[in-house]
Amino acid sequence: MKMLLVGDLNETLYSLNDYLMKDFQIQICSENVVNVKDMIRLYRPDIVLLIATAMNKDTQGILSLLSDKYNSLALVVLGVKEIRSELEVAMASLKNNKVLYRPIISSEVRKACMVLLDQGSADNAKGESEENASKKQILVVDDNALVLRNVKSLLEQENYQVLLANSGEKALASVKKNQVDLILLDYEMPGMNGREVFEALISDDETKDIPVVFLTSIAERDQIYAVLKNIPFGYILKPPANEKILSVIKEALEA
Amino acid sequence: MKYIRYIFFAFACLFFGYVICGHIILPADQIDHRSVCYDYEEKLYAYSSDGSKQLVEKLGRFDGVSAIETVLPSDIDSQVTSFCFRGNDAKAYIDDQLVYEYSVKGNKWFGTISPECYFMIPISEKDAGHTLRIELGYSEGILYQNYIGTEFGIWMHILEKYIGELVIAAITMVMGALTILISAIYGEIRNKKIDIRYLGFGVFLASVWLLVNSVYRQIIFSNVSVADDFPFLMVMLIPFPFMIYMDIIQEKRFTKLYLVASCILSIVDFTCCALYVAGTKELMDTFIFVALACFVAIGSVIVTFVLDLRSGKISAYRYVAFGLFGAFTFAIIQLVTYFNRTGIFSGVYLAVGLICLLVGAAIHTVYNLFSIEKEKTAAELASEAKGRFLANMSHEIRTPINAVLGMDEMILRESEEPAIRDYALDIQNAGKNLLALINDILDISKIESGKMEIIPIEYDVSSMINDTMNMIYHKAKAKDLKAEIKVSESLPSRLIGDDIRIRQVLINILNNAVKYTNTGSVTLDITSEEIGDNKALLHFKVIDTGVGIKKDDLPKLYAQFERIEESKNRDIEGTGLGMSITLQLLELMNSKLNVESVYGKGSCFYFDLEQEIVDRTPIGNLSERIRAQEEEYSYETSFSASTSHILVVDDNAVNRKVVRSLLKDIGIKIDEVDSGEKCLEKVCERKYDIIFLDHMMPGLDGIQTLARFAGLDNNKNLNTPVIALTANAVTGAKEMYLNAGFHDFLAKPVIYSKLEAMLLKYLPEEKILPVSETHQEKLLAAKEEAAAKQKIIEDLAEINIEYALLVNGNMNILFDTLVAFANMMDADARELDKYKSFLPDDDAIKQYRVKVHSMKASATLVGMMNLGGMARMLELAAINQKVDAIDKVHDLFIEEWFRNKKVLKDALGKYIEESTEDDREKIEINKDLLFEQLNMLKEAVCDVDVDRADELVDIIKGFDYPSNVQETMDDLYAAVISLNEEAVADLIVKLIEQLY
Repeated sequence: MKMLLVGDLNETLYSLNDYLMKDFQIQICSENVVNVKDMIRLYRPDIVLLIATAMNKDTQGILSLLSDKYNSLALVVLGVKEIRSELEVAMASLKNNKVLYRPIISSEVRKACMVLLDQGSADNAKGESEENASKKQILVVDDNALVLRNVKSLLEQENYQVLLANSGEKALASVKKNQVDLILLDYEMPGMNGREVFEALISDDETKDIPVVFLTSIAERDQIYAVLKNIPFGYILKPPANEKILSVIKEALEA
Repeated sequence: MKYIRYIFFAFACLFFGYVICGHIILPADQIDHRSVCYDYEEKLYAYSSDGSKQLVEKLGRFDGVSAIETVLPSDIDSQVTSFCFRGNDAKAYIDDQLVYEYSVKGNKWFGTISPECYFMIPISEKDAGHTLRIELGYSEGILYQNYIGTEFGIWMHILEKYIGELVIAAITMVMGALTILISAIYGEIRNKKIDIRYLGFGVFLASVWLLVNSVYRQIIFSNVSVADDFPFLMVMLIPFPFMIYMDIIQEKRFTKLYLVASCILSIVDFTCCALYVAGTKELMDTFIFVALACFVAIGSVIVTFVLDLRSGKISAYRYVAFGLFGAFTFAIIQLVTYFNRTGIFSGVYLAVGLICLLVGAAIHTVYNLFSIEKEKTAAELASEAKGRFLANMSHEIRTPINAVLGMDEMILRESEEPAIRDYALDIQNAGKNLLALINDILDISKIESGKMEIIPIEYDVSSMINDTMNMIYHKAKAKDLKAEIKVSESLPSRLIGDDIRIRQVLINILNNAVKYTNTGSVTLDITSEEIGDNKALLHFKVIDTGVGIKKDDLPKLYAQFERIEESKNRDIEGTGLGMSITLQLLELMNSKLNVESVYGKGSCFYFDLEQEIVDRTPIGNLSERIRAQEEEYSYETSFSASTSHILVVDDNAVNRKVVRSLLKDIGIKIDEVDSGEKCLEKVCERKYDIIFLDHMMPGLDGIQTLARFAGLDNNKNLNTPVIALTANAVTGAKEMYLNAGFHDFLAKPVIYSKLEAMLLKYLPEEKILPVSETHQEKLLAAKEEAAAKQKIIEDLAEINIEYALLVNGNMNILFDTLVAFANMMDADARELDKYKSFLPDDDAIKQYRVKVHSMKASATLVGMMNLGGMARMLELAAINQKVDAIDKVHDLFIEEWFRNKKVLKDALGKYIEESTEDDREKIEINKDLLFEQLNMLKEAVCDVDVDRADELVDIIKGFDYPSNVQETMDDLYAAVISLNEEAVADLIVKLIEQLY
């Protein structure tokens, strides 16, 4: 489901964005009538989530835009109690909407969105995000964007969550930032190569236990030995049969 | 009791010992029995009726003799009391004084001749020398066996003389009687008539004949004259049982012959008796005809004998044949003696012959009985083995059908080709029929082995009726018949009974009705009445307008494998077991199927069932509801449940695949495991909406697995519906699974409609989303597009498709990768060119190596092996620092690279364009928004957030750009595809510069 998240680009918006990201494909848009108008046309969202802190011109404009042109588009307005009456007047002619007032916990917002989209109950949504949480997260590191994209589709199809990094440096940063269950690592990369990334990973207590599978076309004996002496979980030669990748990944995640 | 036994034996030994010892040791007592008997040796003279007198030389038959005279010896033993002879009516005079008279005249109903008897004429010592005159009653009298002595002595003598005959007669009689008795008892116990009893009758009759014909008859019978008729009558009778017996053991091969012989005999018997009764002829006189008739009977037996001997069929009754042979031999001897008889006629030879026959027949019978018993046991064993085999095979057959039907269902769902769908439909029909047949066989084998049980449970009447009608509605519709239902509105809504079996019975009868009806309607009529004691009597009626059943054919309804009017109804499918199962099920439910039928008009099958009432609430107008529902039935119910998550546990990968494929379109998420142990792990990991759990698995089976659910520490699925998957859809299965804690069970092979129904029933309602028509269309369009994409790739000679598919997994990923590759190729080549220009700088060589390596990876990833090979050469050259080699190959490679790019762009044109341009209405550039989005894009590329970046590019491309920036836009797009951070940043700056 595509959501257009409209509001001041502040902390509230970003935290909501992070929270809803798992259930929605979110596009952020600043609270500006023209921007929103263009965005709706460009992005064609299924739902608009508007964070309204005051009943200013933009808020008014957005609401009247929606009621004029996108009357049946699902709309959730996250307002404040002070502007309650004004909001109600402005939204009188809107059909498919829901108004919430801050302070509110994010899950209520999600629930409202879900209900509006006829996506089932909040429990259901919870199950969904739980599922996402339970999904194994795999970091794929390769300088070749084509390989990254390809492996990503393959793994997502098998219900893994996929993070990408197109350099060793980014990979290391990503590992620090995210909970990574497995790393698929290319050897030949500009900047840090795979071996260096691997060595950096195992020298750090936080990351040394993450299983690393090399996915590389380098079949030079010296390089393989250099990598293997640090005992990665697997070493797959590129281009691999996808079933081979999947079985090694499965094995690594279950180990 | 033990001591009593000892005492008994001790007494017995003592007593016998005493008597035996006494006999041996003590001297014989001298008791005067006054038993003397001498042959009478004086001369006898015969007086003819004309008065002439002549010496009798030989005793016997006297024709034309009126009296016999003798002078008693002058010296008669003082003990002698009787003068004995054997003869017919007579008067005895001593010196003209009547001393003895014997006549039976007046003691007879029929005939005039008196039977032969022993006469005891009293004589004594003082009669010595006197004349004894015996006047015979008939001119052709007989007189033989002439003794004098004491009456007792004479009788003892006669007894000794004929003891053999007596013994044999007794033996024969006992054997005959025993034969009759044993065969009667055996027949009673085994409920089976035994042929030998006829022989027993024959032999018994013969023994009677022997006895009544013997010399003792005057002691045994009070009216000797009647007894005298007996032997003749017996002779008339005896051939019948023998012929009957022979006919039976010869398996009625010669029935006609025996019939003729019996008729002759009957006629002769009747005639003789009639003549005798009328007083015209004595039995004696007509006996020759009876004898001839007997010969005819014997002759026919001999004829059949010879015929069987020649055809070898005699071996079937060889023991009887030996017996008969003996009987014939002795019979011939007997006949010879009869016609040559001088004195008393004795049937002893015949008796011996009959005993031979009886023994032979007895051996035959016993042998037969034993072999029958043996065969029966063998047959029972074989039948039992057959039953087991059938039951096992039915199970075994279900498994492969499972796979066949499942895969076939997938073909039906996935194939668009009408011809292939038709074939698949045929497979489905045939498979379903096969399944039905196997279920029939399973049922019948269960009924036959007594394993079929009626399990009464509480059930909902309306759903029972509803299910039944649903089953039949389709079939009726396919034949253009009306399936009608009339249900009494007052039917109680909940009852206790075996609804599965009731349904089976109804469906069987309804199916039959549909099968045998070509036009018109099939009606199910249900009414009920309360019969007190909280019970209801349901009347079920199935009325059809079919071919009907002839009265003569009605019994065939009740036979297994029988089809009524087989020839006419040849095209009707089925095992012919259906009715038999129905009848037996009804019998198990204490009911009976009744039929009323008019041939050619239709039939009405009806039965009553007694059921306990749980809820008396009337079910109301069910007929109307079902009718309404049937009208809706044709609409496909389809839904999506993309937010649901189920777990499938089955050790068989094919079964899992079937379930997964069936549910593909529903979009449900499926986890699969292949064992109960893994299932237990999975249920702790997450909550599922439904768990499908196979029953039969190695290790933990389904029931054991489910039983362990409760014991798990962090089981998230304690309340999840668990549905048993089983190939074991037999009686009581449902109860078994429900008792084991399953929510329901699903029979394998899994049929889509059932699986769907199961999901609809157990998935949380909010997760079931209706699928709109347009969604279906979208699916179809997507399929078409996939086919088109595949065609494009297959047509590209540069791509090794097998390899590419192996690496990419499926056509969609491959295609997307290919499009991305095509979009990246320019940038790649430019970058490589850039590094080339810095050669032979060391850093540049490294950069060149890494880049060409990456390009090699890309090329091989999409199956462009030649391109990949060239890149590999360059990579090797770079590794080995051979700049001159790079110089030589680089340009060729770039040329080939662009050539390939062109090929790809040409082939993928439409799709590449689609990603660079789109059909959206372009909107005026909103600078604010554009900057915002460009910033986000930069971040997304920096974070390697591919999805986000692609999305943003998509939005950014939605603006209406002036033509001068188009190239920059394309470059930007390519840079995003390649996730080239620097290029993206540069291009964004460039774009902004160009725009403002």
